[in-house]
Amino acid sequence: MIMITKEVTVKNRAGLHTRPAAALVKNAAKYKSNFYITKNNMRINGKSIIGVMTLAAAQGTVLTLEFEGEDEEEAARAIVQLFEDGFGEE
Amino acid sequence: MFNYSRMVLAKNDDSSSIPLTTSNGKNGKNEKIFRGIAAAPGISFGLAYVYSQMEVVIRRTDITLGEVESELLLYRQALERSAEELEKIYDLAKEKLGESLAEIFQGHLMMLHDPVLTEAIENRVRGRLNKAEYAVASEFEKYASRLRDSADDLLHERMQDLEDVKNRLIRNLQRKRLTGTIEGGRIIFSRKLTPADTVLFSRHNVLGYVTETGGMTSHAAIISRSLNIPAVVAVPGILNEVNDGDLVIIDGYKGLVYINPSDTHLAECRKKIAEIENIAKKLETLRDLHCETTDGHVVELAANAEFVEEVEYIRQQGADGIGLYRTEHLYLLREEFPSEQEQFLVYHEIAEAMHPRPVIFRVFDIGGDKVLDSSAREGNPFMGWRGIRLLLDQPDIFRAQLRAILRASRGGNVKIMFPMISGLVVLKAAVDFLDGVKEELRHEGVPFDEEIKVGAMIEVPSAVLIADVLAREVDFFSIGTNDLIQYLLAVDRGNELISELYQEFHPAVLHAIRMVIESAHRNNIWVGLCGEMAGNPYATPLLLGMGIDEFSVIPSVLPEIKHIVRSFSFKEAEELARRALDAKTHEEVREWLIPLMHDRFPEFFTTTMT
Repeated sequence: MIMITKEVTVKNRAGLHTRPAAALVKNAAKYKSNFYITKNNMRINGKSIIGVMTLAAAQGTVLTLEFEGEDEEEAARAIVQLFEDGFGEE
Repeated sequence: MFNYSRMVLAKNDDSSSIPLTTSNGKNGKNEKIFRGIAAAPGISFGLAYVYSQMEVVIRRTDITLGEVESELLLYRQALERSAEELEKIYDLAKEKLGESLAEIFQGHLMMLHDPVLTEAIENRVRGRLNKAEYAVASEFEKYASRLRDSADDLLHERMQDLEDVKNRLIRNLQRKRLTGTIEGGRIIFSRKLTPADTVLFSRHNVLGYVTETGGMTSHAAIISRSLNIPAVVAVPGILNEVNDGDLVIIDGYKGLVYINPSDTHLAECRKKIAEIENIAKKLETLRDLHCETTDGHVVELAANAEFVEEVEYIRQQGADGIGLYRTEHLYLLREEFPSEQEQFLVYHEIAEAMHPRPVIFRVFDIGGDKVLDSSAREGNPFMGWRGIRLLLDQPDIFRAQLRAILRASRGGNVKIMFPMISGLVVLKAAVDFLDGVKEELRHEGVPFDEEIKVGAMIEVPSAVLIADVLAREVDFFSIGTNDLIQYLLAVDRGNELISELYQEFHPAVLHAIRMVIESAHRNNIWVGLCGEMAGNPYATPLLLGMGIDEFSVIPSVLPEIKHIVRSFSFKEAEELARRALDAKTHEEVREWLIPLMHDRFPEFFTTTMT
């Protein structure tokens, strides 16, 4: 088990505001792996709604995601997918 | 029972400022009168309930190693109680206000259960031997300060939410009960009101809300209006003046609060409430009658609406339809654009509930500040990238909304309206865009009303001047007087220094309205008016006489406007309109119009408290 690092871009228009932030956190909670998000030099725990909110990631922001733990691959796949789908918003 | 008091009376005539007066009141106490912003209409009197939010200073208190486990248990119990409270509030909000408003409380629940926060708090109790309430306060503060420093307005709102969650948790740690002890019939005084407070209090037959902070568009004000509870907000310092149990009057029409009212004011208030109830009873008989002059000229009387929950009230008031359905709240309440499907569900529900009466959906009329990064704010957003201008530049947002409206149009009673039309090119672009979206739906085999009518809002002075040109492109006009007057007279009506220059009877305003009506009729389309002026009873005969085809008003004034229309002949209204159009100033019109209306409708206009 090494750490998985992924880069994603926030696609949805409103950025990581209330609803997508909630979706992100809810999904992250399904996995045992630790999950961190870095924006510029701010690193927060991706399982924390308040942390994700304070990131204030607008559309177009590039984020680095780190996953570490027994189910890190599944977690990475699912979370990256969420970003790619724009959190189910168009 | 005080719903009756939503019958609106005369507009604000006096313009004195705070503190208004003090004189001998009840029980030898001095009467004090305060003015704030009238955030939700209605009048009532009752005992004050001073609701002091917890702004407890929490001092650092340490515990011993032996107390750690019991302290953590306390914390977990407080978490549980807080969650239970929030679940209840969520259910209540869903029932009373609908899903989208209730979502705020789902967010609160997630913050409450934030694992990082919870862990940090527990670690503080264990490692630093902090008492739980101090640990909670400090950890929340870490995030709060980060949000406070942010330039993003939306994050400031979120800070409020965070603060609410923290206060709830601390209150439960201190084992204080939820404010369940309010007896019926109180007027709540508070520094501010959270959405949760507003929803919860509404269970206790609250008669009114008075707050020191807030504005017309705060969540609490919106909720208050949709719950039919009078509210006056932005009354600074009122908490220093009012005591629990004081007798108070709240006038949500004028934004006035009377503490220890004089016998005279109390008697006036009682009289006014009684009269309002009387009028309401009388007006109820109008519900199923047409909005028609004595000589048979029929106009449409529609309501302005915002929430699905208002539809029942609007139908009860006898509206012919919804003349302006504002869609912005779908965005504003959650700070992001709802998906096509979410929008469709809302629009469909409204259209169904009103069927077969028409519903005019105005597409998002929001400013660029809602989409742009805070660093790219416009210098003058009011004249900037808003309404149709923004939508045409954001085709994804526009398309999703038009698709949702079109899909909801199957019943044949849906119309679309474009805001901020300033010229032909913009209007044509919007209509073309709509045609493109229709084509898309046809291609996909998605049914919609092929005959759907499209209108332009006339609220920019340039649109008035070229109304003839615009009229050929659409099926109807709706005059948005609130913005039109501001643009026409260059008056920001929110600016107290010049607010008296905001004049509905300014000759330029009246002539602009007449021009639009004439242009519309020359081109065989109908024209409505959906600004506040449509609900100003003094303006009713003038607008009627100028030939307006539809009034769209706040639901509470519907019966009153209908009564006025039904009391005039079209001929007389035309004469009054001519007379008003001949006047040289706003004041000149008021000079004869106001006494005339007072004579004619003493039951409406004498009830205004002085």
